[in-house]
Amino acid sequence: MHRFLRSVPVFFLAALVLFGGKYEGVPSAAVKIDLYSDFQCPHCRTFHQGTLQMLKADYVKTNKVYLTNHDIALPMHTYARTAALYALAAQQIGKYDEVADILFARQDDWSVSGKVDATLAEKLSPADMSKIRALTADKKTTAMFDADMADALKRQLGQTPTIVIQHKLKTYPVTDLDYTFMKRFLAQLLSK
Amino acid sequence: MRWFLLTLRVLLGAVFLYAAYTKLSQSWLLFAMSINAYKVLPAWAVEVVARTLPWFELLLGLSLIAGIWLRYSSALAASILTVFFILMLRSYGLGMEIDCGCFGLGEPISPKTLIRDGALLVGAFALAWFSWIPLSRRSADRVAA
Repeated sequence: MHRFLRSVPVFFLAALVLFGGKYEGVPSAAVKIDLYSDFQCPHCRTFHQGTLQMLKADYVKTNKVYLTNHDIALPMHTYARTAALYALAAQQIGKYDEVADILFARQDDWSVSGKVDATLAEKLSPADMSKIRALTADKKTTAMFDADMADALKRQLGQTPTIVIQHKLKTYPVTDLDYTFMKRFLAQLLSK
Repeated sequence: MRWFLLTLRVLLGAVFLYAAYTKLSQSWLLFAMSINAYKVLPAWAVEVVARTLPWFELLLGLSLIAGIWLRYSSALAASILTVFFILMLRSYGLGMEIDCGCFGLGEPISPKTLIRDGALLVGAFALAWFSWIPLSRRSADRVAA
């Protein structure tokens, strides 16, 4: 795997870093984090707007951590799947972060009304919205969502957000949303 | 009664030893994250508890299995399990989707963990009760030993 990654052209890795979104950082980073999140979950919003931003600034943007966002929908969240499909569609045009930010910021509105599309349309350009709408109906987008759900089921995750930290074949599922000890733990892993 | 108390203290002791092992075999920061998720202690206190509690559990487990200072160790086990149980019940009641932190990572607080810890709590109270109340004019320490 590492041999393969070394052979990947540098510009491709750079593109991944710049592109951001569902996958952030460089895949060859020593620590990998899988974030399982539900757009309709209030704890996920807290995590997204606080700890995740600090984590990205300190570790992902500095290429120390490779972050993968898994957008899942808990059974009790009626509109989480729709929101996830919009985010995954946005990912394909490089707008994942922007859409995720809007969805979490306006969670109180669309999670009651179900108007995910209208909420996003207020902030995004009509051109972007038409691309996202088209991609939402695409089988590829649905397959991405199904893959994330299957992955969450495989890991037997029953709560969101769940952060799975991986380092040297060891896996650490974490449910603490605070950055205080997570930051120290990541620093400890990276010092090994 | 003697066999019942012996089984009870060995069982409780083994549970405490296992709990200590799962925490001491990994970074203390992981346990700190589990404690921090309960949101009841400031960061400095979380650090103190994360660094010391596994060692305390280890000593408690050894004491229970060996039957040394049984009155005190059983009372301490009952006290500590009461605190754990109240914290878990509170978190579950508040809908906090967090790990129990009882035996390492990846075990969310659920009815199953509450029943398990509740059963341990009942067992610890029974052991403490019979350790402090003399049976047949003999101290419970001797009976249990």
